[in-house]
Amino acid sequence: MDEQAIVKRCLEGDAGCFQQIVISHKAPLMATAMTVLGNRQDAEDICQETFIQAYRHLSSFDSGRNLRAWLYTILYRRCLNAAKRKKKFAGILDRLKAEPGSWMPSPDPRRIDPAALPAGLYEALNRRERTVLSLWVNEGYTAAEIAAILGCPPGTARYDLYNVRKKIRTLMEKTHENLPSR
Amino acid sequence: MRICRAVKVLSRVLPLRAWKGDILQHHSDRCPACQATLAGREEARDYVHQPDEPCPWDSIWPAVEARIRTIPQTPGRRAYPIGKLWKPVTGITVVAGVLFLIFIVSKPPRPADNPRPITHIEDFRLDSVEAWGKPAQALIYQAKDSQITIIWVR
Repeated sequence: MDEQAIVKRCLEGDAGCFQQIVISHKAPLMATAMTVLGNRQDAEDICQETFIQAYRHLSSFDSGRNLRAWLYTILYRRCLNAAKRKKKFAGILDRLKAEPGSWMPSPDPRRIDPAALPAGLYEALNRRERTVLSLWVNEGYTAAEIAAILGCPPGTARYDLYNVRKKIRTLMEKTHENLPSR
Repeated sequence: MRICRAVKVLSRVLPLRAWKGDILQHHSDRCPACQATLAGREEARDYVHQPDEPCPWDSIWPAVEARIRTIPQTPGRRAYPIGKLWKPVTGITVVAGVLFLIFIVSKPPRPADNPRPITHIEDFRLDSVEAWGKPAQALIYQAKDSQITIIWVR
């Protein structure tokens, strides 16, 4: 069944059909969310929220548009909101960690966290730039397609992409310099 | 190299990121030296998480399913396209507001809108009045709330 048909079925009230959309798009969305947010737990939460919001507003989805690009638009906005929320509560969490005997959730031992990205990436690139990078590398999107997702003029996305590529090149050079010579 | 430097300077001077992006890409697409300073797609692959990484995302669908079961769908309902319209609507509203303000500020005040306070008229005295060389009788008339004084001579 193609995506248009799945969307139509969902709009007719078949919520189970939405599973196919989740299955086909969750991995790329998770990859972008993890690149942007930097940890799996937040990325999972954001992906869930993205799919729920997409389902809630499925009737407003323009059938002429790419579904994955639409999901990425929701995901990007959710990531920015999550980052704002996290910043807001960062002080409270720090105090909780500092207080002896305070309750903090322990990590799930069954969880398999993916390999960490190279050091320096999160300092060098901001969230917007990491989104641009992920969309460019994983999806092969052009600057114009990225601009449509981020909701900015294509020229702005071109500028972001240029800066991202330049910063990655600098990071690569730094990594090579730091490698021990044999 | 001179062109590269000029483009870099220009990209710093230009005020909008969209213009900077256009000029930088236009140049770097044609300049091998600048192209070498940018990472390629394959090179950048190590700096992002990949969709095919061995990491199970199985917990997403059960959580999504539990929530969407409670959300009713109304087929055929189209959202109000405010998302596409908010920019022109805001622009038109701002322009209309500015024009209205200019109109209000530049409008000449009507006399009734801006009544001038009545200044106190100094006392004056007529010792004698003559008309055509002969003593005449003078009638002084002043309307209430007016600055005009009429002297009638006969």
